[in-house]
Amino acid sequence: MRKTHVNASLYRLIYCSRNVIGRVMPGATVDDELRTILAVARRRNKSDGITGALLFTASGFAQVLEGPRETVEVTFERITADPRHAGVTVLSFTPTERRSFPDWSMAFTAQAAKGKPDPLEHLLADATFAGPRATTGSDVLRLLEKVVQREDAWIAA
Amino acid sequence: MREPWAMRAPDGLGTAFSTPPAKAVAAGRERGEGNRLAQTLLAHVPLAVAVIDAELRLSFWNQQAAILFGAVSGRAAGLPRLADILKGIETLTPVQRDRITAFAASHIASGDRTEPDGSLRVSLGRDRRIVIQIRGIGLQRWMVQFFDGKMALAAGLTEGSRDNGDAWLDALTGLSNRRHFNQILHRLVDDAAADATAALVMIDLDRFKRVNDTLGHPAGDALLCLVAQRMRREIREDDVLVRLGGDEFVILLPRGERAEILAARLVDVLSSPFLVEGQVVNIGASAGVAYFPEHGPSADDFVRHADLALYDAKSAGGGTVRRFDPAMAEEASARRDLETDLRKALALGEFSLAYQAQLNVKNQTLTGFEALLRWNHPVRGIVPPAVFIPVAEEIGCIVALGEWVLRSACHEAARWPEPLSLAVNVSARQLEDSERLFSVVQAALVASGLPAERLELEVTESSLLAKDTHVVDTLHRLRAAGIRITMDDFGTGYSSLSQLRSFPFSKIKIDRSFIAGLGSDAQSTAVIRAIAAFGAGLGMTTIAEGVETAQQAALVEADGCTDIQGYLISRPIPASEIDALLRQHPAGTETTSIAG
Repeated sequence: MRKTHVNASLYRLIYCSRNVIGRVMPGATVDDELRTILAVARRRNKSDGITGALLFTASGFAQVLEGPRETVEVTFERITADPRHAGVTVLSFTPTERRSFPDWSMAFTAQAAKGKPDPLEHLLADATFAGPRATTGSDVLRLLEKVVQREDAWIAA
Repeated sequence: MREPWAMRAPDGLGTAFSTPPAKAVAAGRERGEGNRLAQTLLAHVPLAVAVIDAELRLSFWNQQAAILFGAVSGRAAGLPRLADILKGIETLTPVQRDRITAFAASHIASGDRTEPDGSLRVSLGRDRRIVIQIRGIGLQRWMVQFFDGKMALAAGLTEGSRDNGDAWLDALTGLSNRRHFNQILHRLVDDAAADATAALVMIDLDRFKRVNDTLGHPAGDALLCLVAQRMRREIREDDVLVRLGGDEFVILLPRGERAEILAARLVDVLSSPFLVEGQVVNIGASAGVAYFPEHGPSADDFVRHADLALYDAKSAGGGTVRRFDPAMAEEASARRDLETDLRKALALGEFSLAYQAQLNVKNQTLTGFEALLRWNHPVRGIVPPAVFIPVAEEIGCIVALGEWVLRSACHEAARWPEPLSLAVNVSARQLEDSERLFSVVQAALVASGLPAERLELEVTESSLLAKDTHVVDTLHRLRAAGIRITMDDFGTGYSSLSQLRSFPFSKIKIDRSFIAGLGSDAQSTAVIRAIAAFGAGLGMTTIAEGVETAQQAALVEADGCTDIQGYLISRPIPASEIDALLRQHPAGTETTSIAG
């Protein structure tokens, strides 16, 4: 009972967005921008008590953020302001008993390998044209869990 | 990602370290959050605060300072000079301005050691005084504080009752309020240089009311604060961001070239989801843009034109930006004329009723008439209901009009042979006021002597979409009094068969568009059949309107419709022609013998 109470304000946010780095920053390399995003996010999220995972592919971003409700809300406001992505769609925002990514201040998975199908593509199309469905949030969560387990976290230099 | 030192002062008028010194940049980077917090705090202290350098140029000022100085428009490039900024305080004499700049210069020259408490008192007019203090804050910067008695009063810091009307800031969001907006707008218009190009961006949130209705006002207020925060991020230092009230905002751009780009960007950022108190909230925004002096030249015209552009964006369904176009003003003025005429029409007796017969296809007997409103204006001629009914709905005169229709039509129907019924349209606005509608219906029945069983009220699907169950309660009450309720125009808008189960309707009226499509598209047939089958299952009459040919009549009958209405039977006719029509068609229903 006590534990439930302590975690009462723990929330999990899952969103996806389109990658527009190439469009808004013609000079920037995607790799450099990602390093910056991660370096800033890691430092900030660690002090804010936010954990989660970021999935990046050629088409866009999908991110899970876990932490105290208000902190997640404030972090999300900051994220929406970032010009490097567009079409931010919240797939789910719900209270949760436990963190799915307790050990990562921000895990990163670069699934942009050539030849591989882009796991975000159908998701972004769904979110854009059909509106978020109840299943897309858990899809992203499962996808990220799988990828994070399989690949080494990509550490920003 | 925005560098911390580039954070704008949260008000929008103040600039924040627009050209940061190298050391300040480094410090700002290290303390990004602290810097932001300090900015927010500075926006809320009831003190005008400015930061100057050794050459008496301002590198930062907060919103209160901006209010004190007034709009800082058309200034030269680079940091503004204190001497120039002070010219914005209207009541300050040139001598007083010199005293202030000399005071600042000597304080800086003295190495932060000036007389008693380092403050200067300057009187502004009869009963207003500002106290100016200056102190070094390091990095060759000095903070100048202007303690303004009027501002302190607005913030409730001084003795006496708090006068909210005197406040310049919106209490919820900390943005400028309407009063401040009016002041700087007029100043801008009055002092505008010949080559000035200012712009107004009017912003109105889409679907905001639903947030208040469903999540409550505290969530609505929290959302407005987030909205203000997102807009602040997008504006430039010279822009003035104002909350006019409710979910209405306006941005005044002293240099208006990029107004439409800004407007599009704001619509975009406000359409991103918000997280409010544990909920995901999706709203949107509409924007109207007007330019000065092109769409002025008076301040009132400037605002009115931006408003008209916003109205146009809203009418287009929201989520879009519209630039003012003179055609909008013409349209608005034509509409205003129509409104004026409409308000007078009832008193001048310009309305009349026409009645259109309804026929039971099986018995080939008339079941009743629908009363249809006609407006014959002496100059405009016959104005179609599709033109004036929406306007009447919007300006509210539909309620009085609907009551007149009820009384007149009941009076007419009372003389018809039994069991002919009367169908009267009831608007969404009438349904909103349950008490009034109920008593008006009762009074009309009593006065005319028409039995309640012979009155049918037609309601549209859209009026049932209202958020609460209130409307359905009203319908149940009328039904309990014996009055029958018809679902009108079914198949248009947000049709849903399940909606038919939300209330025991007596009759479903299938929209004329399906009847027009009969024979040419298979979908119409399918829809008519589905509705007719559904109606039969629930024991409801299904009537097809707009039936013009014998072929259509045969088809709708084959599809299961029980009743028809349309030119095939009769056009809408004046009351005086009803007797003649009844001589051609017998009246009756399935269960009652032919009367008359």
